[in-house]
Amino acid sequence: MKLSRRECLQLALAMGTGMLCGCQTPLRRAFVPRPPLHALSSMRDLSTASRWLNRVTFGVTPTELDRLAELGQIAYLEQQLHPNDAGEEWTVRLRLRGFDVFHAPPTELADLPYPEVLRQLQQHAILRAVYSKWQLQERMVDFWRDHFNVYALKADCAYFLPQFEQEVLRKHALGRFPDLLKATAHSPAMLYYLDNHVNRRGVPNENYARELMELHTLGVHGGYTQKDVQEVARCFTGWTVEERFLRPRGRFRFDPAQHDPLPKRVLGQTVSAGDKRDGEQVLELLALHPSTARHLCRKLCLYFMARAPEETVEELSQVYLNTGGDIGAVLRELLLSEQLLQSPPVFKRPFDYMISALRALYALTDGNRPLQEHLKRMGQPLYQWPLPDGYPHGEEAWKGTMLARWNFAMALCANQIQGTWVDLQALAGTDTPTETLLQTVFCLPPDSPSLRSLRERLSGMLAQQAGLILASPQFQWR
Amino acid sequence: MLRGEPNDDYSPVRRQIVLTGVSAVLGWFLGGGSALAQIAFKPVPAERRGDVLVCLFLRGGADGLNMVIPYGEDAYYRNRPSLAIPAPNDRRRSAGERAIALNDFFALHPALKPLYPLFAEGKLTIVHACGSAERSRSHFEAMSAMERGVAEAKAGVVSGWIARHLLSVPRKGSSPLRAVAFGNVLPESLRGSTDAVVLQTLSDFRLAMPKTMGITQAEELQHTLRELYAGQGRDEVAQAAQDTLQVLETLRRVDPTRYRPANGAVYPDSDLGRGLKQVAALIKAQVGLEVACLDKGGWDTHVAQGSTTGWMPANLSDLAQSLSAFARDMGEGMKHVTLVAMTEFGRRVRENSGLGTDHGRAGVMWLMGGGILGGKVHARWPGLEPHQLEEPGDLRVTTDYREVLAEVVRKRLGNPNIAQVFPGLPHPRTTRG
Repeated sequence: MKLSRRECLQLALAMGTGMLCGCQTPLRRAFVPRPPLHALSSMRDLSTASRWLNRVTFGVTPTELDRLAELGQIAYLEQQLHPNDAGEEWTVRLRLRGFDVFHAPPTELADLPYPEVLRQLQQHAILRAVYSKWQLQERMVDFWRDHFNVYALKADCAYFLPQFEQEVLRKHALGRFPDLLKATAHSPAMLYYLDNHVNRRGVPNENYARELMELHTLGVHGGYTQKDVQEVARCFTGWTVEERFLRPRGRFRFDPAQHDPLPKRVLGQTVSAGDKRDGEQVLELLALHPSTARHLCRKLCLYFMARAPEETVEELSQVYLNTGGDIGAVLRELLLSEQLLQSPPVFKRPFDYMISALRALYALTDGNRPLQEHLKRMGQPLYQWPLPDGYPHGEEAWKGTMLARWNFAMALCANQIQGTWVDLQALAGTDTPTETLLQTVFCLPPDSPSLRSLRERLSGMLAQQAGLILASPQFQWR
Repeated sequence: MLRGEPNDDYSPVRRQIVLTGVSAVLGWFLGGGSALAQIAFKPVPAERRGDVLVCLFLRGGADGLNMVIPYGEDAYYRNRPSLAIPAPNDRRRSAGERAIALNDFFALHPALKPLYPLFAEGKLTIVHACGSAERSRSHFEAMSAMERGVAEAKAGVVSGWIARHLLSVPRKGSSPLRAVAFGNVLPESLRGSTDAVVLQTLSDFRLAMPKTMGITQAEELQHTLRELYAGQGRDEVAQAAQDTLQVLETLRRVDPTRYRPANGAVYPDSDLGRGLKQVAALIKAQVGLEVACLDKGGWDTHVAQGSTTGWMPANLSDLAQSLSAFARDMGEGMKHVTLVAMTEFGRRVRENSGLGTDHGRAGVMWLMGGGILGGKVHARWPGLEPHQLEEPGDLRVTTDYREVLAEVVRKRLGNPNIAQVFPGLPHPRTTRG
């Protein structure tokens, strides 16, 4: 359905009014679907399907279960591997339109204060993660955002991040890794963040070269030496950002005058083009290196199933190398494997936790500052991890901020986050509200007696019960 | 005498001191290549990992020359006709206006008098002519360099030195209050740590309940939460959750708003006083605190700085009273605390026409704690004569602030991974043996 400009305006106005009025019922229905009865009948199927969806998406919901039941696992995954913006629900498309930061080139964005850029970036990321039909794409953007971490508060990186997020990470999230790597290497955000913009002939800066091999491709034990780092740094001399007057400022620029044209030797291979092709050759060499395959596949295993058995990593690496670094092909193999369902649960990082909670309760959210403030208190404000390794994974890193999670859960369920709204009454119904809530959140009855006994606790206090469900240990893991 | 002398970077300066015969007289510089050769820290017993670190940042560029006065230098008095602090032996001025001698070269500002007993007891030590290599004299660049633990702001490192310290030691438990910053924003020194909590006050650390909720219901809620996590085996997260609930309970019991300092300590009613009081309360509550960060602003004294009374003396007085109250309150507990007070830079030697001072270079760093063999002013004094100053007239930096912090990290925090915490810091040769 194609909307005219006028229709868009009318809708936006209606939505705005709706939100202001506390979302009057008719409008709300467009956003808060009642949990439908799922088509999966047998418990075994249901439990398998819920667990699988919890691994693939930002959180299982009855709606997502229905979609899976309708398509079947294979077709569902194929669809997820081929996202297209046109396929989004119109409500989602509409909400993703109004972001200045995606409509102006980075140099013009500099008129905005950088916190405003960050606010919009985070809002956009939250809305996509909660509402996008293309959940796997969003999971992978979450993955790449850390793999190719850029710190918004370094230099002018914030202004280049919208472009980086949209045209580098999201565009290639499920594509070929060599393309993704090439796009990051050319992106001003990365050039500034890892100091390659000042990597010049005679005075090479090794920052990008080192992280490129250690973090982006080969991995720290991937078999490169300090000499390789120096040689790679020389290959990337002259890769910078256009900053000259009356030129397309803020774009990638190769400056031949600053490029070291002498031959280099990288991982035993000679690089001798003497121009921009030096760097390109290195990127190709690294992108399809067996160490890169293993490094990436190991990280993907950890991301989706919290462990990385050697044989699985090897199998996936083969797929990676045979397909020329096709991320989708690797994911297909990984996500359809038996391993995925048998592996232990994955601890949700704060972003993950927040998004899954919003999804579980069919929250209506604008993703704006008050919500972002909670994310910050939980420890993961997006684009604000200073180190190039990205926000950490695993419970060890995050267990110190449990209180912030609980306070988010309680505030969400009590409708005390401005701009975010849940209708617990509608979700829970009247007959057995606690059980229905549990059923909605977990999509299957949890096996914890203490959760089941919630009904007797705080009876009649639905908001607190829901808060406790989200604050419970069961909901901290996927 | 541990740094090789012949190739010592600073040998011209040192020769200068030797030539003027000062070093022979002063106890603060005994032929060592580095001012730090003598900052001895008592080693931490093996079974404990390390002290609680309290990191106080004096923001704005505190005037080290008027905090720890080089009264042995005529040039100090020539450069500061209005702002100079009278020497300890200056009989023309009343006792309360005179600086308090620390040795025969340095003296404390009279407003810092509450710190003198700590210095005399060996619990306080001072490093003078200390700072970073950042020469921009920009507050932000200089602060950023110091908080990231790098020589200069342009360094590529973007995480904070305290964050890197926390990341480079094994986590002791799962305390939710491992690193606390009092204030509104996370200081740069803690950037990159997922353990850092920012609290305006300790009472912010609580389970937020709707106002309509009764006390019984709130308790029931907390109780239920405890039960939910109790049933979960003993995984790390369950443990962290139980610890968090325990800390909530402890804080409710000690109730920081009603905390009573020990040993008759009286904290000034200032941000710093209140902040340190909460740090003391937290340490005593044994909730697993490893690092506390505090700020004290108001040191950017370009105009009407004040010599013995006025703006800066008022600031000094608050600083001294707060630190002294903290030490008194902690009592024996101070054995396991190291407090570091630092500033981004010192100020111009010559006072300006507004009776203030402009941004300079080297400043003073303070170390306080039971593990410090204090009672000394450590400095490789560069001198205040025109040819000894750095353009445009600033005290030269002769001790890299990172060397001091590295000593603290290694000796008092029990973390040997200095290369990780201070990347690029030249290998310390000062502490061998």
